[in-house]
Amino acid sequence: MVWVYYLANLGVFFCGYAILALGLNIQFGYAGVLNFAYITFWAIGAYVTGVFMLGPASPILGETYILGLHFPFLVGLLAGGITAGLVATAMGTLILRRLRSDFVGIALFALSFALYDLVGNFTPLFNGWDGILGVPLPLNFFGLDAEQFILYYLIPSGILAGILYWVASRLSKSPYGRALRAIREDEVVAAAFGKNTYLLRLSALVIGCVFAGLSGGLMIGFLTAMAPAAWTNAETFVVWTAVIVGGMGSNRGAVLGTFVIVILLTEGTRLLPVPLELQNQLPALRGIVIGLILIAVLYWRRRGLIPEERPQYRLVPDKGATVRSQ
Amino acid sequence: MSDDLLVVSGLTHKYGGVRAVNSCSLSVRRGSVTALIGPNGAGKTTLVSVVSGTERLQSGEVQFDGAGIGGWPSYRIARRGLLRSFQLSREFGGLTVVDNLLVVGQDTSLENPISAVFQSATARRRESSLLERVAELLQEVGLYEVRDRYARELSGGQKRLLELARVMFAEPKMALLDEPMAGVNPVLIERVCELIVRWQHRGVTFLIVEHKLEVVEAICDHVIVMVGGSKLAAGTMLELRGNPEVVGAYLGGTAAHA
Amino acid sequence: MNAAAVALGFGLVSAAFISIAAVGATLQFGITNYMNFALGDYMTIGAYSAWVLTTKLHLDFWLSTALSFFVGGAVALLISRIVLAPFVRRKTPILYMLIVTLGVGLVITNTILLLDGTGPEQYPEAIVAQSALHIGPFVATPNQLVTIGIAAVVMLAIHMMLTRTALGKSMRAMSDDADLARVSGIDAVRITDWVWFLSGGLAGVAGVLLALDVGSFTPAFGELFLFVVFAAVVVGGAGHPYGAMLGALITGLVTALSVIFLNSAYKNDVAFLILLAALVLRPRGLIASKRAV
Repeated sequence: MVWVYYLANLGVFFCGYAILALGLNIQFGYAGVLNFAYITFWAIGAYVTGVFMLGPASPILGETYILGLHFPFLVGLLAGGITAGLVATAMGTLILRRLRSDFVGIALFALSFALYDLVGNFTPLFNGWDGILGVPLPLNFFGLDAEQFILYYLIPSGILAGILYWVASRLSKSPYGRALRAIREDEVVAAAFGKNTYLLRLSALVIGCVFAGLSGGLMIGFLTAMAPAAWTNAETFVVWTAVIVGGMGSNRGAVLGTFVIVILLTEGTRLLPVPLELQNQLPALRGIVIGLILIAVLYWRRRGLIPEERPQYRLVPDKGATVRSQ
Repeated sequence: MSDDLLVVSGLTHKYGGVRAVNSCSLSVRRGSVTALIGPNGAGKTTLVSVVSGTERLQSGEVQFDGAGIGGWPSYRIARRGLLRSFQLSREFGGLTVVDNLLVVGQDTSLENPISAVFQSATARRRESSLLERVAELLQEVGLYEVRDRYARELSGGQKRLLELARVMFAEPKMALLDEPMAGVNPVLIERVCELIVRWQHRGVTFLIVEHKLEVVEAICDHVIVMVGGSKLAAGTMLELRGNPEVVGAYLGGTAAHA
Repeated sequence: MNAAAVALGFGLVSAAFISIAAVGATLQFGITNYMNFALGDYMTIGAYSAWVLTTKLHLDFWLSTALSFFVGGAVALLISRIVLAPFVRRKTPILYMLIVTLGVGLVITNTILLLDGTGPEQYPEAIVAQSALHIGPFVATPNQLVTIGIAAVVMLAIHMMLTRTALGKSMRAMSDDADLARVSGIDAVRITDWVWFLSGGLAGVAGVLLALDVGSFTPAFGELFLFVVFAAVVVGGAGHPYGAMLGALITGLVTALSVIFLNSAYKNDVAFLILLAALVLRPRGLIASKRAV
């Protein structure tokens, strides 16, 4: 019976990571923006959702954090997504206007470490390195216990993931998505044809970061705790690998990549019958494998497992009606 | 409404220490097909880049359709109706031929995430009519058969045609074409000339950087000669052939031909 | 006033090891035209090599430091040849080169993690435990003075190399205009090899000095510091070695002085603000980078 809970647990993680991959796919797969701080936005969403749902910080427990509003989960989730979007907007307006991709990457890379240091050291914000804990179980209308809750949480996770997948799909198959891809292909030419490349890339960055924030909010409801150790730069990397392996620019690819990298490789390997001495080494081995897979895929099959879908239009030149099919 | 759609005054552009364009002044009459000719290195492509905003204006003035566009970013100039093609084809390789056209022909107001998520009936209708135009244009330039191929898979000549089609699909007031015939199958050059003249009749003004003098003779009403970064002379080909300076600098037997 | 002097002294020490890594990074960027996100991990390799050489092989610490230059250089060269060159040969867009370097960094960090565990490690007490000297208003340990000394020597050596040697002149030529340089007969492959060796070696030494200054090191400690090096590179103008020296000085001093107003834990956040300010206000750097930013 333990298996059921384990799989449900995996399922929730899958939804959370899938949302992350979809968001990164929008930023990088469509628009070519190098967000090397991606997991930081997930953390922002998680923390904000957390401090919205928690009650005020209790000095007796020696914890300090901002807010503590005891608001319902959905309000917190929304706030988490919005805050992540706002931070993305702030960074984006500063760096996307004039900088080429290296430097956008450097700026965001630096942001992730700077925020990591800041949140860890500035305890009044989110209780520093210890982090926040005891976040009440979201949407727990039925007063379920911890185990039953794992099964139950599959529902909101699946719904959120489904909605965001639909949103990502719509974004992709639209003039907006097309404009983003043109910018990714050749920014100079896209601009020469009237595209405001700055605004378009900024919007992609913000939308992707909102996805990350929502994923974070969803996950903190499940994990009930959050600390800097959960969002180191290495985590950003896992999502990047998932998107690239799955197929850049493809939403189905992002989901498949999540399954391969996160579920099979990361979670799946936890189940392998490995001698105890090696158990401690697993995270390091995994890290090495993920890094090597990424490099290998970039070299041998850059488009990934599921390449970006090729749009097919049905054109009927001499008649009035034209139909688009995908 | 002024007679001249494009007026360039005293344009200067330097790359490092090299003056690629040296206080160049020229104008292009509305509705004309004007050629910009001259030896290699005369600054023609640089001029096109600066006028279209691809390169930032350093000094000088550019007036387009009554507005001073000097210093504007290229996307703003493009939205005003001035578009350019590139000497070396720069198609959107990862997009299909159809998408290459759709993306430039799109109404900017629809290119936002909200419209993407809430796709209205109006938007769908607009896409339909765009697709009709795409089909027509692709047939005109002879790319209909390869419409669903990724642009990077096209042959060199096909890419040149796509480069041209893309500018035309966006329905500019004026098109700056940079050596549109380069790399085009000689058999097709006549076709492309026909198309340019046809579009001229639909109201598009052209400034074409060109080396093939037969093309210039065939379709251009006005010719500007650029040498060493500035305008040497302007007029009809006949007038220019009679101009000893022009002959010496470019038209003579020793002139560098592409 | 004393606090300021002391802070300035520390700032100079920081500037020392930042500049060593930054000069290497900027030279490498000037030649390859993409930033190496694994540089922090080359610093980590340096720190660990010196540790292994000192504690396991019982070599003199400063000798180990010098040797870590060669370790870092060798690793960087190998990685350039084996991993990066194939991508460059295919004219892979810079966007992807950056991701590849991130991947390399991840593999390095985890390899060290595999071999040594989460750490943290330290250099032997004998080397680290020193009493501070008072030189005028400044306070410094002998190690810190040596650090500054090493940096000064390195800067001088770089300057000599760039101005007096054929290699250095070729590097400057390639950095200015790669196509022109190649046409003039400069062996791009050889120069690229050298610049990777140099940047890896310098990063290695910088890593040792950083570890010495901070007190302990972990597999990820170089990566955590990388963006500070990037700040110095950007402030000075990416691709400009003298700019990097200036950028390192500014970054080191400003972050050190910030300790007077803020808790020292936020030093790196100050470095981030410096980086951001540079990118927003003057992306081409103080010594204007000719390269488009």
